[in-house]
Amino acid sequence: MCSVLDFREPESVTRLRAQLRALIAEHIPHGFLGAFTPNAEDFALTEAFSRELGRRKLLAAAWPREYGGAGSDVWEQTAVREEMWAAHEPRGAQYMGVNWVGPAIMRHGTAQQQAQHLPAIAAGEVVWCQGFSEPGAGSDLPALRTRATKVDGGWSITGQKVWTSYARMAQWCFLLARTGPAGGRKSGITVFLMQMDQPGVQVRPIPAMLGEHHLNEVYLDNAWVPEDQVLGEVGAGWDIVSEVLGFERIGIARYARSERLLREAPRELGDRWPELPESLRERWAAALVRARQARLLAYRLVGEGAADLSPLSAAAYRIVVTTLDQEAADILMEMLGAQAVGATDHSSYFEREVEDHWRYSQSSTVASGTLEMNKQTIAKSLERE
Amino acid sequence: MNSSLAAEAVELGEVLRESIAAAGGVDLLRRSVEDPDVRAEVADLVDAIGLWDVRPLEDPLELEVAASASRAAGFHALPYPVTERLARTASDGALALVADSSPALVSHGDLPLGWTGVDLEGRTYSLSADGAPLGTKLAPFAVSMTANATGERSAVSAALAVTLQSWWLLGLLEHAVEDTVRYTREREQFGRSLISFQGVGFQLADMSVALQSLEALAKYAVWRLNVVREDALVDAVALRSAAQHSADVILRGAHQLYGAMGFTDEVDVSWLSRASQTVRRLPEGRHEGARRLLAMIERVGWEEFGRAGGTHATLAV
Repeated sequence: MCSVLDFREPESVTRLRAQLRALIAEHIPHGFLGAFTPNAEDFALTEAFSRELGRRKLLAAAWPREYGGAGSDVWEQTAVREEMWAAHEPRGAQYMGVNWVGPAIMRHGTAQQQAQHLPAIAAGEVVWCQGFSEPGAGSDLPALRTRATKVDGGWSITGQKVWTSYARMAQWCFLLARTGPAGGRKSGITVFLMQMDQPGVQVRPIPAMLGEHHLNEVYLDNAWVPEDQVLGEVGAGWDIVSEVLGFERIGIARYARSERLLREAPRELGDRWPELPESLRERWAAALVRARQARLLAYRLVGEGAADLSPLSAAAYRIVVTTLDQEAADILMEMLGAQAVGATDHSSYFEREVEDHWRYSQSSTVASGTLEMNKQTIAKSLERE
Repeated sequence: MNSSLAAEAVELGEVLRESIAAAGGVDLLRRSVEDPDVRAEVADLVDAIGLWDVRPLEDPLELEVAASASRAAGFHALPYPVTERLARTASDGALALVADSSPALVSHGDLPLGWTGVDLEGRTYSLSADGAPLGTKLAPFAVSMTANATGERSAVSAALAVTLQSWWLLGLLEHAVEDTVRYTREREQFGRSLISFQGVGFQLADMSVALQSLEALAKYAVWRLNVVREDALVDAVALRSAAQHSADVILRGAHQLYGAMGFTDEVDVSWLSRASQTVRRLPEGRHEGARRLLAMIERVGWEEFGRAGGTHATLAV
């Protein structure tokens, strides 16, 4: 029997989606727009919801059972990402911990680090942030200058991190700092698992259009990391980071929210729908096609064996999905007009969703790898081919 | 979940692509434009593969074989109605995509293949050729045909014809990207290869993304046709719309990056660009296609990803 194309969802995945939707309906109130709003209750909701998912082994479902996961397959993991993102990510700030900090500790951590960190992440009891970008090191991450100096029993770290999401609520930071010679590049970087609550760490929020808590500065002034919280070998940080970011095949399942909002638009607009310019509705139909393509490119990555993963197909997916986010946002803003641009707390949920989606989508082609870096990846891959 | 074509389908596509390459590749198009009778030679070449035994609507594997063969033919812009013959409704014949007006312009309509027509809503037509091929640069083999509505509908035939034609275009665009990448690697200006300039690399990246996106959707449309038959017409129309978009990005990029060289008869890209025109604009171009896709989604909806009928709600407008 030959194997022909098949895009039908496995039944286990359909059941899981239903379970997740029911959990969200039960625990997350209508009108929820994510953890990062001016209303502190929203973040508290996500903390409680993450622990609920943790109890059901659904937070770190992809992880092996020994670390608090459910050993779920890649399609189930994909469904979790999609359902959560489509519903404004009720896991709140758990994304990094679950999706790559945990896996990095699984691969490179000591038994003691694994025992300390993994069950806490899987249970939804801890928030991690990512100490990567610096004022002088954005896309050019190896240019980072934050410096770790060996002292008795550990490391003393001084420097500045920027754009650090969740830094104010995080207990731990997955921090990159330079341990090699000044001016060195990839070889002199080390990963530190740093506790945030200490005198040497100061966090300042950066007010921004994206919403609360997305962007922060983190100042490190002789911050302390004990010897046993170095992840992997000293100097091996770049390899660890390159590898763990490779686990991030599809990253945030942005297509799931874009597509849901696009699909809801005709019903939400009701009688106003046929009055919209045909050219705008045509763009809407084209965006639905793009959303399907984005999902297909994501599924191609999910289905590929690790050895077949090409940087070219990963970058193509990221370009399609991030530009889809902005295109969908623009179309929906155009459709809702004053209702969306002037959305307030008293507006309909859909209007507030569109306003929120537009603001956040502006960062999609910048965050975790810019559009230009993705194009560069493809161009270089074609050049070498 | 499986997003790869069956190995048999891939293999047959490779065999066809290599046979065409061995017979001259795009040279067959060059020669046929000079002498339309060369198409008889092309017909023999395709006959030899045994392609006409394939019944795309009878078996999922055969549909994949037909898609893969269409892509291989498109790769070389083969001057022969391969997709039209694969989409035929009778055991013999060829099915052309037409508009709901007469006369219709049909490529290779002069070949005695027992032509019938179908429009993008599935209405069927009898067709008879009114004259000889136009012999022009953009539509060398296009023939004016009188189209008479039969009063019957076959949405599944329309879906098949559109899907295979999009696979043909996918093959053509794949060739254009490959050639442009090779050319920009070889061609040097200012002491460097063109591809090493970021502006050039970015344009190639856009072309690669357009190709990968189209390929992914083309596979999805094949699966939908297999599982939901006539309801896959909306998927086919969406695929056609995506193919037209990708063709714009890729062939504009190919022309731009090839510079003056890309307009010459010597270069394959020049022929690929011309050969794509009839497929992209007949029976209707991008704007008509966008309008049709919208109307279809508003009328019948578009099922959520991965659904194939059953109880799941479609998109209600």
